[in-house]
Amino acid sequence: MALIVAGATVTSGANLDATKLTGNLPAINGASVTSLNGSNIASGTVATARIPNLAASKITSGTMDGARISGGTFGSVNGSNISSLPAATSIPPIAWGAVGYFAFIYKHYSGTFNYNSTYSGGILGGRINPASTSTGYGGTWRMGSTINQNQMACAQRVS
Amino acid sequence: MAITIESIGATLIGAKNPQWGRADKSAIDLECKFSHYERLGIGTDTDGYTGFWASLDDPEPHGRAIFEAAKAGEYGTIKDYDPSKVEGD
Repeated sequence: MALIVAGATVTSGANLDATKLTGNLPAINGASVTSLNGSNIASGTVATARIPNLAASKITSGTMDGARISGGTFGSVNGSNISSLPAATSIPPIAWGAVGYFAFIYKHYSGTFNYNSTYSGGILGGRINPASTSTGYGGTWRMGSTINQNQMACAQRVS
Repeated sequence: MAITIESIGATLIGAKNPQWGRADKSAIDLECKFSHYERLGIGTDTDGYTGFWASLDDPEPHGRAIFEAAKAGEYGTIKDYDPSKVEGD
């Protein structure tokens, strides 16, 4: 059966002039369509699989959520605008009196504080300064060396 | 509610034998057992317990929390303050 287009008879083996076509294409395999213009994609969603590796230089506006940043290693970053950092006094073991903090313990009275043994305020604070309500010796402390009366050594708060 | 040491993530396992550490009852001397003690070799001959000074003015939150719990009687009756324990030999 012959197809008649604009008065011309199209038979098997003949070429159909595509410029004569208007309206909507039917369901058709477009595998061989070339020279598509990206600006003509006007609706729908392009699958992410269709997007190749994207150079970071292409991201030129907007704000990236912090949750999208993970792993890897930061390159050279200027941190001058980083905010909401924890207060220095809350960063252990630097924080005064925090667990892990080191302090010098002075043995005011007789007796011995033994290396690697633990001591707590009833002995430490009291015997160092009986009249004081010192806050420096809360928790438990472990001696860095053995000391006797009137000697001083470094100790670490362990709890 | 579990009491933890925020900086190292250790948890208080138990506490016992509380005694007022100051006459004004602003500190309590007791024995505590924390989850990291075994790793540090602390309390190996005392079932993991060692002395702990809990006070209202401790800069560490867990120290203040232990004080409040001890004051509320969670670790037993608090013994009276004994000046001889803090005034030296």
